[in-house]
Amino acid sequence: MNRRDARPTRAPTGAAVAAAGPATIRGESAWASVAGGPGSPLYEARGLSFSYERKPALRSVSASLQAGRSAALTGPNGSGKTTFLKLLAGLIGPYRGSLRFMGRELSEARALRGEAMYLHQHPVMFRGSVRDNIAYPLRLRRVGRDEAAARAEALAAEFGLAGLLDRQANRLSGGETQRVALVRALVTGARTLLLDEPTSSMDARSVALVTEALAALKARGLTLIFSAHDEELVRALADRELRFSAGILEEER
Amino acid sequence: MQLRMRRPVGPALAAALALLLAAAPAFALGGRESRAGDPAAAVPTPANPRLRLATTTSTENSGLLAFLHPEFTKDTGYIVDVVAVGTGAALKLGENADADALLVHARALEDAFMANGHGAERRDVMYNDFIIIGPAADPAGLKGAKDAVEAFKKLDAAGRENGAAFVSRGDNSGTHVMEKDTWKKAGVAPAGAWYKEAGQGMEQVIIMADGLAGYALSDRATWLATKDKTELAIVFEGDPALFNPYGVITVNPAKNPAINAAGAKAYLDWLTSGRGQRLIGDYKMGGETLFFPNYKPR
Amino acid sequence: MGALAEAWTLLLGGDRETWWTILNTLRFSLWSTALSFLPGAPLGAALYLGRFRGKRAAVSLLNATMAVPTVVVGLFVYSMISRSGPLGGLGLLYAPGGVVAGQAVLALPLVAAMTFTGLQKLDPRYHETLLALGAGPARRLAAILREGRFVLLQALLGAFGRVTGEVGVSMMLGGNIRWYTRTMTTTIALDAGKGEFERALSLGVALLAIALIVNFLSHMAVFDE
Repeated sequence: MNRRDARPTRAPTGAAVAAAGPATIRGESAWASVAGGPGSPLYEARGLSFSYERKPALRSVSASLQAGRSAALTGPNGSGKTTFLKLLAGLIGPYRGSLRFMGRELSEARALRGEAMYLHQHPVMFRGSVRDNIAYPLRLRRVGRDEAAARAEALAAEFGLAGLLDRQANRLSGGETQRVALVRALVTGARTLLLDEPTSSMDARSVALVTEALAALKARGLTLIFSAHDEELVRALADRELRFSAGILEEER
Repeated sequence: MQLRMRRPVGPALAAALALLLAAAPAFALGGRESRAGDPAAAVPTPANPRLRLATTTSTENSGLLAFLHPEFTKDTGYIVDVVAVGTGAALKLGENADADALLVHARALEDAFMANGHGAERRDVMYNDFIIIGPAADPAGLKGAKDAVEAFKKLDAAGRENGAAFVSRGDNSGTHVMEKDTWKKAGVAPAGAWYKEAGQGMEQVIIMADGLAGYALSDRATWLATKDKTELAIVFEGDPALFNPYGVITVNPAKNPAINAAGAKAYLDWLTSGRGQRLIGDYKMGGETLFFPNYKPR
Repeated sequence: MGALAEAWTLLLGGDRETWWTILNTLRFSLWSTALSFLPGAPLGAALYLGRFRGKRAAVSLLNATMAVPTVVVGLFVYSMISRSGPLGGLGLLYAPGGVVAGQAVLALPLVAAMTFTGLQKLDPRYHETLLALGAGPARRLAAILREGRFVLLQALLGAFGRVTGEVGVSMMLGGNIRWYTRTMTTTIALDAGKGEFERALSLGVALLAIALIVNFLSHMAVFDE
C-alpha cells in the first residue's frame, strides 16, 4: 500500500469525531472508570513551590483544576507556566507544598497512572516510523506488536494521520510532529493532556489543524491544560485562564 | 547542539575494546614462566610457591637478589616476590603479616622485632660496610680521620663553618640508623642548612650529594652501583663500627594463616646454607665483592 | 639525545622486560577499567535520572570523591587489603589483584561523574518523553544508556587513561614486584630514582603513545553535529 499523501489530510470535524463515540479513542481504561464526571476535582495545588538549582521557578501556587474544564496558562516567558505544567505531569520534582491528582499526592509513585499526558512544545520522536512511535506507549505496557500497530493505525486514522503512518517520524513538519505526538499521548487512553505551547512556531495551516484536533478532544470530554501565548488558541479552547508572572499565579479568569 | 557518534566507528570501537577485554586474561604473563633458567625439569613444586620478602631498597638495588633468587627458585621451587621499601616499612610489613620473611640490616630494630614476638627465627646472613663519600677535593678533610666518630665530628665542623653539605637518608633506613648512631657517638646533633634530610633511597641520596658537591654515608653496594654516575669518591672507610650486618627473619606464622611459613623457612635455611653463602660471596660488581657472608651455625 | 636513541632500541629491539611491562600495564588497565565502568556508568546514569531531595548533595559528593589524592585512595585500599585488614584473606596486597582493585576504586568516581555530566548534554526532552509515556526506570536507564553511547565511550576511555597513567596506587598496592606487579609508571619511577633513564624513557615514550591513541580515539568517535 502506497500512501503518498504529501500533505496532511484534513482532520475530521469535531462533530464527526464526537459522534464516533468513545470506543474508538479509548485504549484500556473505560470511560466510566474515570472517577467523577466533568467538574470533579482533577488537580489540587496548595502552596506549590519548585526551584531549579536554588532558583525559584514557582512560588506557593494554589489552584484547583476540574475535569472537563480546560485551562490555559498564560504569562511571559520564564513566568513558571512550563514548570507548573511539568509538575502537573509528574516530570519534575521533588516539589514543596501539595499537589494532588484525583485526590492522590503526586509525589507518590504512579499517582497519575497514565491518566495525564504531557506534550513538549517541540515533541521528540523516536527513531522509526510514525506507526512505531504511536504504538510505543502500548508496547511499553506489554501490548503485542500486531495489536499495538493496529490500535495505533486506528487512532491515527481518526485524526487523519493515516497517510503518515509509514513515514520516518523524525522527518515530519512541526505541525505533523505535534499531531503525531498528540495521538501518541492518547493511545493509552489518557483523559488529561498537558500541552506546552501546542501551536507555537507553526504555519497557519498547521495551527488550524492542531486546534481542530484539540477542539475535537475537548468535545469528547478530555481535559486540556495548556500554556499559550496565542490569544486565539486560548479563546478557542480554554474555559478558564491562569495568568502567571515571575513564578506566582497572578489571576484567574 | 547534539553530539552523535559516527556510525561505523562507534560499534567498531566497542567491539575492539570488548575483544581486548576478553583477551586480557590471556595476558597470563605471570612470574613463573618468565623466570630465567631451565624449565622445571627437577624443580620441586611446593603447595604455596609464592614467598613474599620485604627488604630494603638498597639491598634490592644492589642487584644481589636478582642474582640469588633465580638460584633459590631452581633449588626449592619458591618464587620470591620482593617488596623493597625502607627498613622501617619492611619491619612494619612483618608486623602486619604482609610479608613472609624479611631481609634487613638494622640490628637494634631487628632485635626489638624479635623481642616483641613478631619473628619466628633470625639468623645472620652477610655484611657489607658503610663508607663516607664526598667530593674528591675533600673540603672537610676526612681523609686523615682515624675512625668514623672523628670523621663525623669533622663533617659537623665543616658544615657549620663553610657549609659543606651532608645529605642524610632521613628515612629511618638501616643507613640512617647507622648515621644517627655515629652522630650520637660523636656527641653531635647535626642541624643547619648544611645538613639535608632527603627522605629518599640510597641512590637518590648519592645523586643529590653529587649535585651539591657534598658528603653522604652510603652502603658500599649502592655506591659501587652508582659511582660512575657521579664525581664523588670514597673519603673514609674501614672502621668496623661502620660494618653493616644483614639479618634474615621469618615472620611469626602465628600472626596470620596466610603467611607462607614453609617458604620463609626454606628461604632462611637456603640463605644460610653452604650454597647460599657461597653464592652471596660470588656476587660481584665491577670485579669487587659487595657482600661478605657471615653466618655461623651454632 | 643518546638516551633517547637507546630508549628506541629497547622498544624496537623487543627488550623482553620492557615489553612485558607494557603488556602487563595494559592487562591491569583493562581489568580496572572494566571493573570501574560496570558499576560506575549505571551509577552516573542513575544519578542523572534520579529525582530526590539530596540530589545536589550527592552530585557534590561525587565530584568531591574525584578530588581525593591518589595516595589517599591507595592508603585506604591498602588498609583494607593488608593481611591484617578486613579483606586480607583475599590475598590482594602485593599481587595483581590489589593493583587492579586500587585502580578501579580510583576510576569509579571518574566514570560516574563523566557519565553524569555527559548525559546532561543529551536532549532532556528525550528522557522526559520516555517518562511521560510511561516507561519504567529500568527501561529508561537502558534507553538513556543507549542514546548516550558516546558518553559511555568517553567515560570508558577516560577511566582507561586515568588508570594507565597513575603511579601512587599501583606502587603502594602492588609493591612494584618484578615480573609480577610492575607497571610502566612504577618502573619509570623506579628507574628514575636509580638514575637509569634509558628504560624509563622507552617506557615513557610508550606511555605517551598510548595516551595519545586513547585521546585520539575518544575524539575521533565523537563529533559535533
